[in-house]
Amino acid sequence: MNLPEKMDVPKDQLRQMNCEFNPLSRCDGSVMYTQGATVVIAAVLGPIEVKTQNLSIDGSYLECNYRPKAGLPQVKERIREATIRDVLELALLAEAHPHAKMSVQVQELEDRGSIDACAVNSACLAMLIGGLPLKFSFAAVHCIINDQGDYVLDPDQSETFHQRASFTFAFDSVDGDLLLVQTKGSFKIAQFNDIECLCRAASAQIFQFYRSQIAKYHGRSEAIAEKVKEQPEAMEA
Amino acid sequence: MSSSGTIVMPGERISAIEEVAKSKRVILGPGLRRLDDTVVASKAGPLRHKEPNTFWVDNYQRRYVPARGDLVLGIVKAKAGDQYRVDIGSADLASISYLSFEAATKKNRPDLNPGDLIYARVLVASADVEPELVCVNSNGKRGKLGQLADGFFFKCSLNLGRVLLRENCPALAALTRRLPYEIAVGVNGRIWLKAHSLRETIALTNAILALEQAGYAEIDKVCDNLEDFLQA
Amino acid sequence: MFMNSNLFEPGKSKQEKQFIQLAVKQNQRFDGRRSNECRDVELTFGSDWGTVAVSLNDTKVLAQVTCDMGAPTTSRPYEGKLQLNVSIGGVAFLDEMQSTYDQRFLTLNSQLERTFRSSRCLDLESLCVAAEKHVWCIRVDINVLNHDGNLYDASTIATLAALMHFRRPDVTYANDELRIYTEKERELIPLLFLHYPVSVTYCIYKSNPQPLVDPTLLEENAADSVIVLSFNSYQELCTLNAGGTVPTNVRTIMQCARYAATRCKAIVEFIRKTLALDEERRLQGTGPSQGLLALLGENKHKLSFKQLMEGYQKQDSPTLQDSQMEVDAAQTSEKPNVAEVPVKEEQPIKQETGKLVQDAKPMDTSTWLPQEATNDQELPTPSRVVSLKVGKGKNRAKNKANKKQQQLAKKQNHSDSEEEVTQVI
Repeated sequence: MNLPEKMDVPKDQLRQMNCEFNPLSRCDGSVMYTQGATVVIAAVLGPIEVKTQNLSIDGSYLECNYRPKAGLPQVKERIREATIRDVLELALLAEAHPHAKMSVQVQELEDRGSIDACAVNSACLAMLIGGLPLKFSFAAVHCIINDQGDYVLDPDQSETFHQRASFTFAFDSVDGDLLLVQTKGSFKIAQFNDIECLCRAASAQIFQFYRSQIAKYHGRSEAIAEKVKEQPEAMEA
Repeated sequence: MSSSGTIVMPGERISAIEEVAKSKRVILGPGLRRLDDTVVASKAGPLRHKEPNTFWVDNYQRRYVPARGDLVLGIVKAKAGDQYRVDIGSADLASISYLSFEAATKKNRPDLNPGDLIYARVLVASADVEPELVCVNSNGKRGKLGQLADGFFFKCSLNLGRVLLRENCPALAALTRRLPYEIAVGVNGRIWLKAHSLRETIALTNAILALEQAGYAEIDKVCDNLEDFLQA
Repeated sequence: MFMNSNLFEPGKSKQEKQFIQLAVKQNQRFDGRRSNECRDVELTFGSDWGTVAVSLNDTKVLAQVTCDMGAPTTSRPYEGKLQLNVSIGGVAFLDEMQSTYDQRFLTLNSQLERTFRSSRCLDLESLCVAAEKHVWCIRVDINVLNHDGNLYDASTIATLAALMHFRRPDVTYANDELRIYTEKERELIPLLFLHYPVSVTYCIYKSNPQPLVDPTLLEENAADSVIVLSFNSYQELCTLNAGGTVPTNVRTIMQCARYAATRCKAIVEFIRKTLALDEERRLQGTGPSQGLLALLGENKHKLSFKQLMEGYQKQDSPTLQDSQMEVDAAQTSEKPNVAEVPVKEEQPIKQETGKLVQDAKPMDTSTWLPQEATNDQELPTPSRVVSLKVGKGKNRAKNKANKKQQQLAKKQNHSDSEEEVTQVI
């Protein structure tokens, strides 16, 4: 693996993405996701038993926690947590498992910019690998306007010190609808539209990455499926 | 259409199934759902198809979701009234009545304690109620079901459990040629194993867990490793 | 006890417990290790100072050290603060096991507190900037990522490595004004240590007196008692935590301690080597360092114990425990009578306790440690086994003659030695 250096990546490109599925043995699905030098781990557990106070008869309860590398979760982390939960709640097919809880934990390992977007993306990958039912997959992209007025897609931390505005968008995979808009700083509405287009284009790249990684993971033991005559699987539905 | 195994992602509309559905009834397995007149995936993985009309999405889920008729391995967790509470790895604890054992009556209760292992069949499974198990068939005979004594018990992925449960699974056959053993596989990804000696049991456990990584292509290698281990 | 267990915990069913007891009896482990063999330790340093990820196979722990200025406590106005913070929720989902949550969390936390705070391993006085006003508060966050047994060792290694890796900014205090320099202005300063403690964990079962080192989760859950020993690199005991239900005799604990002391020394050595390598990498690398990206996939940047400490393992393996095991095995095949094992052990213990009595006042722990050649246990394996066999022959002859007497003597001896040990510890 080469050292991913932002210097090599043009300003309108995402940093190199990489992921490893199920690095953790205890949970139902986990993923270690890197984008550039930012590293996060996301793990899901579900459907599992729910406490009575959170029990809902027409859908599953979603629990989402974000843990920083150092210190206890503060306001900043709580906001990030709420962001992830909002997006997940839109995407999760809650009615599939009533009386149950889905638990998603995101652990920051190294923050080198775009941590919001990385956390959302890792949560999506963890849901996909954990086999939790989703209405659609989703991808988040971070973009800033730097002090020269240029757009920098998926910036490294070193590039975010001088920024006029920062944007985080999340898109769904089916209709391409916006699931999340987060902005900070001052900008013109035309710039907003430009950046939205830029991020939308980049999200397609992330969806492609999801698909290829899932394919790779399944390809690993594709041999099993080919060798055996297909027998009916235990139907779970 | 054969089992092409194209990767589908959640939310993807699968028109191939809709085509089939025009002419005959289709059965949608896990990971697929019907949305008005369209068929949509809800999980990510390769799309599988079994003639004539069954479709599902394959994935490496690790959490068991009970389904009627499944054979599962459960650990007795507690006694509650005239029921045992059993952990089968699903969201809720399952329950099994004292009377669902062979030759059990109100007076003659089965002797099970927390920590015991049972091999049972799922009788009732629905998203809204807790699952219920039985240890007898419809004739009141136990068959292979019931308490499992001795041996060793471990967890694997759901996928491996299903693979081993397929009829004439080549992996188990290959292992049988080397060593005699008793095995009970639950679709909830739990395996109980008993061989002549402790060393053999450990060897088999490691061999079966190795299958998870290796796949069928490397069965011979796994078996060779097994023999190496036993000879060492 | 069993309610609300959303996660599968190995080692909780009867079958597993029985099987593990049986396996321990026959000196078999699932991963093919011997009873005194540890899993490989892997360290990965982050690109920030004080970030370390440790993995013992599937047990994974992340430690992060941070610092800020704060006021000292009134009772210790000249000392900085060290705060340890364990989080076992998160991606490890250990809080899903509600029944065991409190117990696990508390033992781990107290273990770390005792190893690092009570043993005063950091030179806290060096962290004082202005007495009674400004001191550095060092905070270690230990995030458990995955639990596959032996969280204690993984967390202590992670904590020690993170503390050793950490650099704090320089600071000056003049005219009631505090000035913290950035990295560009002045070089960062590493923390000062008085000693370097690490722990080693053992599991003991009723079926076999031979303890298992570095247990997996299955072994840990099925164990009857767990012993955690912390030693520093000078082989001084920092923490001893022995709980559970097995009556453990002094011999077993001493045996554990001996091995643990060498093991701890080796681990500290290993951490030093990895730090040196990390330093080298930082100096070489012109761009941003790879950091925790190294956790992904197979690559050569992983720093593993087996790789770096090959020499140590060869030199270390023929220690007491090995020979012990071989002897035990030899004995079982010889159909020994029951009294034989304790009798054989009598002499070394006697020797030790004698020594301990002599040296009890200066508290010189090194006398009973294997490094010193004071007791004959340090002899290399072959000769040791031979000598034991000879000794055994003699013992057996004695045995047949006056078994009862010996047993009595043995009992006395045991109680004696126990007293001595409590003194030392």
